Amino acid sequence: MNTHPWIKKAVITAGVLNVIALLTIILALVNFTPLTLILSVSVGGALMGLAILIYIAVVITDLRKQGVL
Amino acid sequence: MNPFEESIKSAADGGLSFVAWIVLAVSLLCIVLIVAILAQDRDKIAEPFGKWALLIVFFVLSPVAYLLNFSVAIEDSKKVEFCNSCHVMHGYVNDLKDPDSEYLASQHYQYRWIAEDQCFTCHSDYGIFGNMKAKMTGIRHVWAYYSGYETPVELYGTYNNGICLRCHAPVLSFQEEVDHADNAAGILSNKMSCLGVDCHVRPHPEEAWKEQ
Repeated sequence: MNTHPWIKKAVITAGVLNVIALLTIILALVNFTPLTLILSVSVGGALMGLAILIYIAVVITDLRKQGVL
Repeated sequence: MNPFEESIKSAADGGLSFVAWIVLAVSLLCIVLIVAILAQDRDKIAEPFGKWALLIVFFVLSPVAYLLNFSVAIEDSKKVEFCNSCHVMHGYVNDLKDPDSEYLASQHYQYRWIAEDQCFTCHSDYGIFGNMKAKMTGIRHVWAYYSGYETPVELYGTYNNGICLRCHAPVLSFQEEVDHADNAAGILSNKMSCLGVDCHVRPHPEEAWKEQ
């Protein structure tokens, strides 16, 4: 994977978003209420989806630079 | 509290289910891996281990944790205690558990005519999309709970007889009851409610919503 600054930033952003999403899931498991349930399923899901999209962009960029794509 | 009540309470408070433990373990593993790779040494992102670890975390472990959590949430949100976590439901659930109550819902709960998930069983419409519709309505309820709602709390429409009939219709004694046989068309078409002054008693106390 290329260590270009924007790629590093993108990976870190994706990582942080994913960690927040996972924390909402843990919160719902530990303290299961209607609010934490909605939070984990909607906000958690959206953040995780965004993190995955960012990481897909990073992987595609990396593969293109390596000439695979 | 008698020993039977204690045993039921301890079973209900049994903590996380096996699947929930898996979700917790996978989530923690993901967090540890992400933090270890990103926070300790940012150059590890470019190393093969960092690449593959993040790839597995983002594309396999995290989605698995999310989907398993979703299924845990679907199951756990059927429980009576979950419904009771909103203050507006306290009056209804208290009546449900009142051994002296003669309301219909309480009778079904007290005698375990419905073994578990009593609120959900009677408030999710019969049919393939019944459960999904109930969940979507539940999301609407959560929104209303925090943004404000009108009182008294009422059903969106008339109660669907089909929910009663999915258990009662196959029972021979139900079918042979004269009032049921005479009014079958009205009951089946929902033009005549099972609940009401002329037929069966109210499911819940009329002012239950006031007890919060």
